[in-house]
Amino acid sequence: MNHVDGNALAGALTLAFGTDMTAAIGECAHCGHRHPFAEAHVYLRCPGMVLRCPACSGLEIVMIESEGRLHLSVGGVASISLRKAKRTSASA
Amino acid sequence: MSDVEETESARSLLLDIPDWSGHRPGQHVDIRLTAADGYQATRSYSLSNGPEEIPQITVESVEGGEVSPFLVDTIRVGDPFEIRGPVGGYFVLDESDRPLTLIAGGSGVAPLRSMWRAAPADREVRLIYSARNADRMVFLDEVRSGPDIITRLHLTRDTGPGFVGGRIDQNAIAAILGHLQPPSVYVCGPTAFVESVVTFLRELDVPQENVRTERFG
Repeated sequence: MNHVDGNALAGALTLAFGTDMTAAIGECAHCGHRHPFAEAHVYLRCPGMVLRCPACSGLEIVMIESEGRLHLSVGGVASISLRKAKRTSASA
Repeated sequence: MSDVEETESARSLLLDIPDWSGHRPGQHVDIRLTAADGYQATRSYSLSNGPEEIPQITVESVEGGEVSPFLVDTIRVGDPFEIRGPVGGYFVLDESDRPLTLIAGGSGVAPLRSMWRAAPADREVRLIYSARNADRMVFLDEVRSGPDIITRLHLTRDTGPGFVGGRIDQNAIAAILGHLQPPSVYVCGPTAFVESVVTFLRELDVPQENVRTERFG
């Protein structure tokens, strides 16, 4: 089956992590390759959504939405690096 | 909601979304459909209008698809559906002043249209776009009359005046890049198309950090 890429999971990943993850850099726990999650290979027609390393095809993340819950398995990601959201100044 | 028939297999849907606050060019929305038996399918569709315009998605019907045939052939103006977005922070137009090169395979042109409509007037935009034949080329009229966009249009299974016959290859990309170095490059299309374009760009020494890709299968 043909894969798409991590851009297709922008919505689901935002739901899981509370911020955009497509531009975040993930480190594959299998081979150590570092890549934006947008570049990961994504398989949508599995039970759930499967995200694999673009270098070694190792399983990085599995997401399953069911009965109003999002189940997330992230054992294939060794580390995640993301740009901090800009703070805006405020005064009371 | 209203709609525009773009080609015989593609349709644009203009969405009526309460409290929509605009999007960044390149972003998309998730659309979720629920069947009568409760089965749900969610797919992501790029916004094809500029950020200040009414949000619009452009959908090409995929044979055997779970969502796209419904959106192209079945849904009627006024029918409600679930939507989430805008989402995505990677495949979005940067705010640099680098010249912009947009590379589209088929309906991958949708998020790129949002980019060319949003690009500042002083930012040079070039588009190379391929489709099977002219009838399947979404936004062809706009691209041809395009305001200040340098275009190169490829037909992979047809020929005609104003078109280049054959797939986009390395020479075609070199021609559209022209003197522009280093540009910001956005590539969107089927997975195999994007992979081959990325290889050509690498061989042409385009800095990889300026290349953003989106693959839709």
